[in-house]
Amino acid sequence: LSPNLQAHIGRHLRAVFDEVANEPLPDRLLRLLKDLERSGDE
Amino acid sequence: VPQKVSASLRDALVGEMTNLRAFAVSLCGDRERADDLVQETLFKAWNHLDSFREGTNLKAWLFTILRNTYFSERRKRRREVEDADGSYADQLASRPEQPGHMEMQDFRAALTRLPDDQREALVLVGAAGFSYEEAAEISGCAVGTIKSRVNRARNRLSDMLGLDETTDSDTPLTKSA
Repeated sequence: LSPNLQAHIGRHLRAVFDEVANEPLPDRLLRLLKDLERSGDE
Repeated sequence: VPQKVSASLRDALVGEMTNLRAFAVSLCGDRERADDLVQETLFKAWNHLDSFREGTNLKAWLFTILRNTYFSERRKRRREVEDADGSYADQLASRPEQPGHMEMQDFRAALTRLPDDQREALVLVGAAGFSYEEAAEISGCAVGTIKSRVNRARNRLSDMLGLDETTDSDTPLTKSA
């Protein structure tokens, strides 16, 4: 595959990935993190 | 539960959560399931933090736990439901999209139609920022295997999306390009 097409695919791939990575964490994961932190502090 | 987790390790762990979640979504194509996977990964990581050597690659360690969890569940599930592949692809394709994002929708749909191992390799190297060597370690295979999976993934995507050598990397992705 040409460098051009590789770049083209790479750009779209990162856009798809970053779309999710830029979302805030859902509440249930934030809650779990808090719970784990509390248990670690005990 | 581990005895003492250093604040820096804890912060680093929290800092990888959004990337880990993006990886999970790219593997299973479904945010609900992805969040289950991240949750399970977080549990396992937290309970095995004593086996993690500080200063080594935390991100790679977390990604390894997540993909192993995903693939072992998938093997179990596959024995139960034969057309798992089809149902994941359908779920992803029917996700509501913002208007004007047809090309991304096409790309996302094509991505889900890749074989699991190829999609994983492509995402690890092409989006999650891992080297071929790190991706090989995460997936538990040889570097050459990762390279060939990435190549096959790119070629297959290119075929599915009707890309050809005249496609400009800056032009929108369309089937007629």
